[in-house]
Amino acid sequence: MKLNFRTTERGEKEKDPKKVLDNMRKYTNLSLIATMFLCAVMPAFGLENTSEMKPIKPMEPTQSHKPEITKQFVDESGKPINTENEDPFGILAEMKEMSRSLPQDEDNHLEQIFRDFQRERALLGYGSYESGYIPAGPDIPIIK
Amino acid sequence: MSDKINALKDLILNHPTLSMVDKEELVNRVESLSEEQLDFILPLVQEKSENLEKINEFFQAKKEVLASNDPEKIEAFLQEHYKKLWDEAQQAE
Repeated sequence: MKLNFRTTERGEKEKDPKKVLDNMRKYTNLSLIATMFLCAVMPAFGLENTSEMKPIKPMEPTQSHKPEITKQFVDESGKPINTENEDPFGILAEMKEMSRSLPQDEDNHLEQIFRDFQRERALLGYGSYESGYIPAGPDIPIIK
Repeated sequence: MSDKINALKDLILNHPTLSMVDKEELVNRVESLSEEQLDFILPLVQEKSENLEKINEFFQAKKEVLASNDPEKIEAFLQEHYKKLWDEAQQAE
């Protein structure tokens, strides 16, 4: 793949925030699809007992990934999601930082990526952060 | 059998680089996908063949870690996996 950089006035290479978030959105989609394929025949992987798996608390963010998220995310029913302590993979704060220079409507990417995170974890039997365990299964609704 | 299921199976089976073993593994799961999931998956797989390569790459990696049935191992894998995606997203065009 080619690198996607633009040149600043000082001649440095700079990342294009929109392109980076577009890429991330696509990768999270592909990752989620891989999990859908996996969950399509879960018992084949000895996962028939996933209902006995305990929900896992969100990982504590590391110092370098400490979230500074002000945007209010909502779940698929429109209910607010508390993201302050819910940076599931330690990268949401970085993505938020990168999106600062983008118009507000581009911020939608972050919400979609965050929902992909949640769907992936729900499919794998981790459950939601707020309501605890969600049984693993292939029927998690998809919003594009 | 729905047209979407057939279309996805064809795309998988005619993929230029996936091994036959990998193709069969994915094809065997297509009929278990919901209509909503097929609507989500098909456009991305049709867009370019590299997308199915990525899906298969993620599928194989996740299959291995999920087979452990170890929640801590799965959590650690996903942490690393998404950080890698983020790194790649910053590098790729």
